[in-house]
Amino acid sequence: MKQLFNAEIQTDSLPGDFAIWIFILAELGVFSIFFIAYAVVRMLNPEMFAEGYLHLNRAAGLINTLALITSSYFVVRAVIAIKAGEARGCTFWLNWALVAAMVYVVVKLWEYTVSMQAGYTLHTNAFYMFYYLLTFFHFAHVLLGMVILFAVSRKAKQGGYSETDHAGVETGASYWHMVDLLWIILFPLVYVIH
Amino acid sequence: MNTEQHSHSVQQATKIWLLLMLATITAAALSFLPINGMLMTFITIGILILKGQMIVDYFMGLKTASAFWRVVMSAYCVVIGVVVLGVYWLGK
Repeated sequence: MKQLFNAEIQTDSLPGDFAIWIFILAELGVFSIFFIAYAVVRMLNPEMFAEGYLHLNRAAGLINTLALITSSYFVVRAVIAIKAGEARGCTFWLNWALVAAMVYVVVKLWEYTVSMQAGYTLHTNAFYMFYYLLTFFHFAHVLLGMVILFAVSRKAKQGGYSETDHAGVETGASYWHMVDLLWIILFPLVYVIH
Repeated sequence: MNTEQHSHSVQQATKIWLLLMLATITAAALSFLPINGMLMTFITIGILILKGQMIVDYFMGLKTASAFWRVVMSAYCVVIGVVVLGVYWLGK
């Protein structure tokens, strides 16, 4: 316990800027309310959620999960590259991370279009309200993450980071991994457990 | 970062990425199997916790960070998973 308390004030070993970790904690807190509310409402309406689940495209959920994990892996490669002083390698991997993220965006938009064309909207029932709110809230975080990765990639290309000065890359990477972590929870909750 | 460290970091990240992909495909495959709902939920939550730990330790790079941050981030998936399991068990 003493060790844990002492560790609390050690922030040097955290990747990136300390402020991003406070932001990450706040984001995780907000999402936890959504996750628990989803589970509770689902417990209270098992038939409605079972029926709604049947209309979801599980393949789309799987593709999006694989795309985000791959994107996170590319971001890890970008961090490794800049730590080795390879700014071009860092830009290369960040750009591929953005391509993988774009796969997620396209699939998610396609999924929304199909659902809405089938007549399922935010107002259909509690299942669809949670489905749209949870996934769209996450989708907005993906878009923000893409903007951050794009900005970091541009700065890396301009030589803004080096082997010894790369906190900006780690800060962007930490945010992106949080987005991945949230989807790792959201995917089984919405697309797998039934 | 020397060449050896660089090579080790790349190999480790690639292994974790492949494990995460495999775990994801396994979880997705479970949804097609005729398994009892509570058992499937239990296995799926187990996979979720393992994946979360891999992301926290190796992708976020918290394995060597201070204990406080590693515990807080690792506990997140565990707490959410246990709460979801508890809620579903109550509704059984």
